[in-house]
Amino acid sequence: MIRYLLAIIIFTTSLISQDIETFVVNKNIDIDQSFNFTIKIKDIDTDPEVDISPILDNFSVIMGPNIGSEYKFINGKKSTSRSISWTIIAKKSGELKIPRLKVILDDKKYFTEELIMNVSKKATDTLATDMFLKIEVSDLDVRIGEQVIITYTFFTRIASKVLSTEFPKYKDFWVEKLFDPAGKQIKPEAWNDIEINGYKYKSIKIYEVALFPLSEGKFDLNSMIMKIETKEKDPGIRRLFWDDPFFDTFSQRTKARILVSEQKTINVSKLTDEPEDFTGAVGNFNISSSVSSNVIENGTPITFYLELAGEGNLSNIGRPILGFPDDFDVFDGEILIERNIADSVSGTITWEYNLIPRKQGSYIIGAISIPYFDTIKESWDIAKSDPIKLNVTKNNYVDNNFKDNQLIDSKDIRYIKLSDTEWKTKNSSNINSLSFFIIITSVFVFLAPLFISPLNNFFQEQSLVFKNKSALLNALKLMKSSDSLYIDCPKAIMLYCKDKNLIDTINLDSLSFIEKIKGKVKSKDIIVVESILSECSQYNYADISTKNSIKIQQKTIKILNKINSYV
Amino acid sequence: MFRILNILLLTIGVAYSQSSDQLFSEANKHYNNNQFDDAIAVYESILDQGLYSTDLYYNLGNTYFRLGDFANARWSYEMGLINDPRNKDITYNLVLTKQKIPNTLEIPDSQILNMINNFLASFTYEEFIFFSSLMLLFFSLSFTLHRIIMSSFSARLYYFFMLLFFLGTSCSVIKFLWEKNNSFGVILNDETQLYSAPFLNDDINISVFFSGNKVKIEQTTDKWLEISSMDGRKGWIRLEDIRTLE
Repeated sequence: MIRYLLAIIIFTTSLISQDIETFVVNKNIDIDQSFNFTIKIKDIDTDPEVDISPILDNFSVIMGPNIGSEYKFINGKKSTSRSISWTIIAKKSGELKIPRLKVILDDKKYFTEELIMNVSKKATDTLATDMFLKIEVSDLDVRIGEQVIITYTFFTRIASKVLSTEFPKYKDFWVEKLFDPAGKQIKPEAWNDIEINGYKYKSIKIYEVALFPLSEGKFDLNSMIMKIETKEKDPGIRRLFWDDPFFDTFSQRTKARILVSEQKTINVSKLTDEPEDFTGAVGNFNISSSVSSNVIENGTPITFYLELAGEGNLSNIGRPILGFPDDFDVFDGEILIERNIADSVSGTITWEYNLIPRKQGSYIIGAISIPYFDTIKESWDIAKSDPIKLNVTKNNYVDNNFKDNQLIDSKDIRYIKLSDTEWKTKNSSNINSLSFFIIITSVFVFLAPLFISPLNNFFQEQSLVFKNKSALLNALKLMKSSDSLYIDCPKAIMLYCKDKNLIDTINLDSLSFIEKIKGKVKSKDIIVVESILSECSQYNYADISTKNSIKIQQKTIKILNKINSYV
Repeated sequence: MFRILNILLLTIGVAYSQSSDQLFSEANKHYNNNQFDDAIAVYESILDQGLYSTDLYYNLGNTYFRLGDFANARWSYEMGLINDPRNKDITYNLVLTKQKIPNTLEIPDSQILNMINNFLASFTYEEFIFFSSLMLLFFSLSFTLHRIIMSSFSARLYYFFMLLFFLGTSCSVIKFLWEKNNSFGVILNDETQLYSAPFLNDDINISVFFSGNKVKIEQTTDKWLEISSMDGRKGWIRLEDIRTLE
């Protein structure tokens, strides 16, 4: 069974290999030599889909894909084939593999054959070339974390135009771009004049990066590939009148060229004997520390700045763990990295620490040491800052809690409440009944004066009515209880008149009284009253018998009853 | 009819009160017997009924403290202080609880602002209203007196009480607005993650809060709360990480 299965697989594979053909013109090439990579598929009418991404690790596509069709008639039978080709160039030297590529054709998957390309390094012969791409590496033997500056410079002796550039990608390195022409307009004055072996060249920096190795080993740097358009003399056309290339446009032809930078290999060795508090600093550094304020109030936050300046892997250095006084609350702040504009190689990294002192007193934040590998001395070194004095003063802010803080010595909480408690409900009103009662009472009290005056008037009116009604009775009572009727009979008459609102006061003499009641009491009754008053006045000081006084009393009662009937 | 309704309400109220009193004393017994988990369950059940008291929050805080749950203890004491701001026992225990909470954030504001805050926090909203109503009564009495006797002394007196009435009313209004616009909460979970947006995503994780810290609640959704802390940090935390003080 297995034997049959194997036979089927081998047969199918042979069929597929017959359908798809992969080839290059020459398998032995130079690193800067481009070549055509072609996939040819027989007996198809549709365009295939090819995933070319697996080859991009080792090769760069300059042009393509170009699709072509071929028709053949053999013995009356038509056969068709399609070919897809790319112009590619190697990124590095050595034995490079073009892996098997997946081809999708009518929803079926096929795989191409694997090809091995021998790519040789080409000796840079600047004498022989009129343009070249130069790579400069600051150091090829470095340690992990050590900065390597890579600069790509383009040299040319002829008029040229950069069509496209493929910048290399660096695996296993932390990369910081120092110069990137993307989006920048290159001005004519940016070109430098340089003489190499008697030839005058124009040169310009194309790309510059700082690499920081992350692990040890040997690492091949991919080449930079530039596509250049040049104008060169066409040997087939003879000039007629002059030989000035500036005006000579007819005898020149446009040509595309591919420039590939030389391949470099960087040896990265690991750091040995790392100190315990090493946080990854490799380079050449100085350290300084500062605080936002040296005199602060207890509880007021300050910022502690730790600045590491110099050349090295600033972005790869971890935040140092610092030992601050125990009475400080410490919170990590921001990390600021700044590159020096002048050289783009050096710079600073600043770590911020937010500190909140919790007790007053004098504190010293000790000297801070950061170990680093000095790439100049090729040995370990320590960057050390100066200690900083801090004076934490008492906070003027008075908080009951802080006051109580000092009172707590027992370090245990007070016991629970065991007595009955007054329960409240979540939905109960914020205004309690007592407050509500007080507010209502207040409103009444406030409005009380508005009601007092009419009430007073009412009572006064009622009093007058009552007095009016009881006027005769009061007068009679007075006479009844009198010891001297000659005195009290006029009083009773006047009291009666006052109660009846005929006069305002009883303290009147006879004449005034008579004048006051005129018009209010009938004339004939006034005469009787006048006679009674006169009689009483006459006998007031005389010793008159009781019989006469009773007569006057009866007379007075009679006239008062008479007046009362109509007043 | 009205009388029957009154009697009914009174009966229900008394029964309710008896039940909560019994629960309260039962929880206290658990506390005395060092059965703190049981005590918490009973205290919390009273809160679940919608009933509360200063003593309940105080005892609940003590129970959480005994269990070492200082975040919930702080929450309980803070709630107790909202109801009784000048309670010495709660203040004492709260200070002790804060000392037990690591990384406590207590950054004071300006002195004047704190004086005002402390004054407003020292009295409840009910107390301000009571004071205002009392001043209104005195003002009304003095005003009526002035209408009767019309002396300069009575005029001064009613002006004085009128001023106190307006002061009390202003404090009530400020306290009301402050409580309405400022709600706080206590972080319950250790290492509560603070996010820049209300989503669970490590990329937007901006900071960490520790349990027991008091934070201001800016806005809420059904599962998230936007909070700001005393040290200026602001972000979103999950609802289960916090217990609100309201």
